[in-house]
Amino acid sequence: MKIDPITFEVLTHRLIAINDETALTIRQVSPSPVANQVYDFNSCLMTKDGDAFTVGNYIVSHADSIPAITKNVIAEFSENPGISEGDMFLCNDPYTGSPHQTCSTVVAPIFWKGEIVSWSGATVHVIDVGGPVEGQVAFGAQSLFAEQRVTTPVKIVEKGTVRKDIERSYVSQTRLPELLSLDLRAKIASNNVARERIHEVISQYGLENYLGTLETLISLSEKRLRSRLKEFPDGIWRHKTYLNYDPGSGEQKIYTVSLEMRKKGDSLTFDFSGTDDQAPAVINMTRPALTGAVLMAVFPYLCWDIPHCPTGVERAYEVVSRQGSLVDCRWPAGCSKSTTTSLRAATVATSLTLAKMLIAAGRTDRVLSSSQADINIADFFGLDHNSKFFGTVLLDAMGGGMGARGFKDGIDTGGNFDSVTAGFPNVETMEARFPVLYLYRRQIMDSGGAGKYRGGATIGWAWVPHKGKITGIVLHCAAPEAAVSVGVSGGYPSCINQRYVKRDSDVRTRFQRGIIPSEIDELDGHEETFPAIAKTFLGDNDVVSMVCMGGGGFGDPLERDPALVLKDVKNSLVSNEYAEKVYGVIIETPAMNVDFSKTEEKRAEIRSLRRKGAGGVR
Amino acid sequence: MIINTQLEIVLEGGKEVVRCKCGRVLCSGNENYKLFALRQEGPFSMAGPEKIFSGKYKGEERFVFRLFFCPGCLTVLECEVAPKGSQILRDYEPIPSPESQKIESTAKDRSPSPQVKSSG
Repeated sequence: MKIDPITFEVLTHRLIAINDETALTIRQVSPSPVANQVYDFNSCLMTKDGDAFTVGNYIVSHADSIPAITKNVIAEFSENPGISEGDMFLCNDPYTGSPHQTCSTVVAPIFWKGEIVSWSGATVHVIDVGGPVEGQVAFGAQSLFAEQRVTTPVKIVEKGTVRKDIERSYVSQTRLPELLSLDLRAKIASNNVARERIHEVISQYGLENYLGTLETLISLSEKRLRSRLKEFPDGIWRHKTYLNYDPGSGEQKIYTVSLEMRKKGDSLTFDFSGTDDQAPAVINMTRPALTGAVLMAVFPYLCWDIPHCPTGVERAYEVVSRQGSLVDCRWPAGCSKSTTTSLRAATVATSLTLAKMLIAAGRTDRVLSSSQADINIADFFGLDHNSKFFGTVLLDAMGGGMGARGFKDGIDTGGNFDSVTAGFPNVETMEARFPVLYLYRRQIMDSGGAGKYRGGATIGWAWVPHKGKITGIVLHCAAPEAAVSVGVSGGYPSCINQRYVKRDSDVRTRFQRGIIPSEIDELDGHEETFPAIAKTFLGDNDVVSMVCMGGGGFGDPLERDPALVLKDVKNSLVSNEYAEKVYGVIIETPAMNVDFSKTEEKRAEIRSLRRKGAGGVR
Repeated sequence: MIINTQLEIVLEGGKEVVRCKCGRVLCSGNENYKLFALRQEGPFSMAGPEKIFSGKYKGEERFVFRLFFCPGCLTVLECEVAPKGSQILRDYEPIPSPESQKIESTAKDRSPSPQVKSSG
């Protein structure tokens, strides 16, 4: 199907704009801060066969989950119950395509003159779909059966009308029926916008031009990525990322996500077959989530000027996995918290192997070290200011530090490298909506990985229950033991995740005295720390403190310009001690100047210690 | 062939070798350069941010921080965070070109550096 280049460009950008509008519709309709503050959602537009040709810059892994669900609907339900104009299908099943059960998706066919010409889909991270544990993490589960409720594809909208029987069934087991129902409406609204806008495009430009654009967009993006790969040197790059999880033995096992990336000519293979066997539940992911995880890194690292067309880009490489492993689990392994565990680990491994390939290609201008490789999250539930049951997710950790670039520092509290439009919540909004009071939220000193270029500083925050009751809190991250935001080319890793509760503190006594504590260590009380995933409670005087990962560094810290180190110290991003110990930069205080002579001596001393520390001279 | 900002594989004396920017040759082109680098292994606190690590976590019991230095200029070549006792990751491996396959590996003539000292 031929299309003239000008019409192609006009239509391509119009379709991207339509996709943006469908995503923004979710944000406008959903009442959940997870959607309207953090933008933990996405939408995509697909061909009649369910191949995605555009996806929003929100949570990019949905570029694969939404099409997987759509293809399943086409394959399984075209005959019975049938697919008619105005229908929509709801699904949150990981074995159909959802990354985890709380990523709930609605897909819809787009008809034109009685024939399906496209599909649209929208996914929102919802707070609770039911199950033994509130929220997204099936704490203590040993299989999918003990996790969050699974809904395989069902026709939720029939010929334009929401099916009340299905909706009632869907919301019947959640603890938050109004919220789940409104999030469902957000997805339906998004698909309605997609249908209307695509109809406008076809009315204006004709079906042939519309379909020609999709076909050309897919083939062009594949061609351009293959052409880029040809320019890069061949080689094999490897990375391993580690997770902690208690599979039920009472011990925190170390799980490894292992990637070997092979590049030859214009072909690229991401081989995860060396990854550890699946866990019983929670931290596994299914195959569509894995391919989505890889795409999350491929877009920013390889496709900076190539259309973000998932189907075309994915045709240029292969993802290999072993069924029964953590990244390609076999039913009925649970997947309730895949997104920030195995999925994140696979994205991190992909990004680091790609970074090293880019260096080999001489493209340090496109390199990024690891960015907030693990996200530190709290789901919590209880009674709000009005004694009404509430539940939400605190996603401040979406503001972790970005990895250092190959030519410049990482962005402090820059957030996700892979889902660039995703944000983190406004403190005042969270305080207004939920019974929490923040003591602080700020950038954390010494948290970015050291390097010639420093990894972005991360975010830290502390809060206390306020005017309500928090009956349950699930703290979860992937790797509380290891810094997985690692550096590149000699750059150091970032800080690790940190979260603890100061029990029975004197925080309220201090409030009464007019003091707002700025450090948790100032408070009286006893500290309780937690493994990767833990469920606990919060008393009125318990203070929660959390720090997320920063970005990894790039290059040897001793090669960093002392003036930049001084600037970091002045901005409280690096401490004086750290400047001296790791960067070898001596800063005169209180004048706050670099002592260049002493800096030279210190750097020589550190180099000498490196030889000594390594056990001698080769 | 560039391995990272410090190292590249070059032809020297008719053989492919891994060479640092400083001119120091670490090993033959088909070997894991990390095994021929100076290596320091220890707790996370070697990476610096003690305030964050602050001994609150068990990570220091099970994970290590590894630094690999050029034996010539002592520049950090690469870092690793890995479980204690785990194998050193070969993060890059060339795909042999038809030409390089003809070149005899020097691997048999040289042994990896055993120089490791645990810090902390």
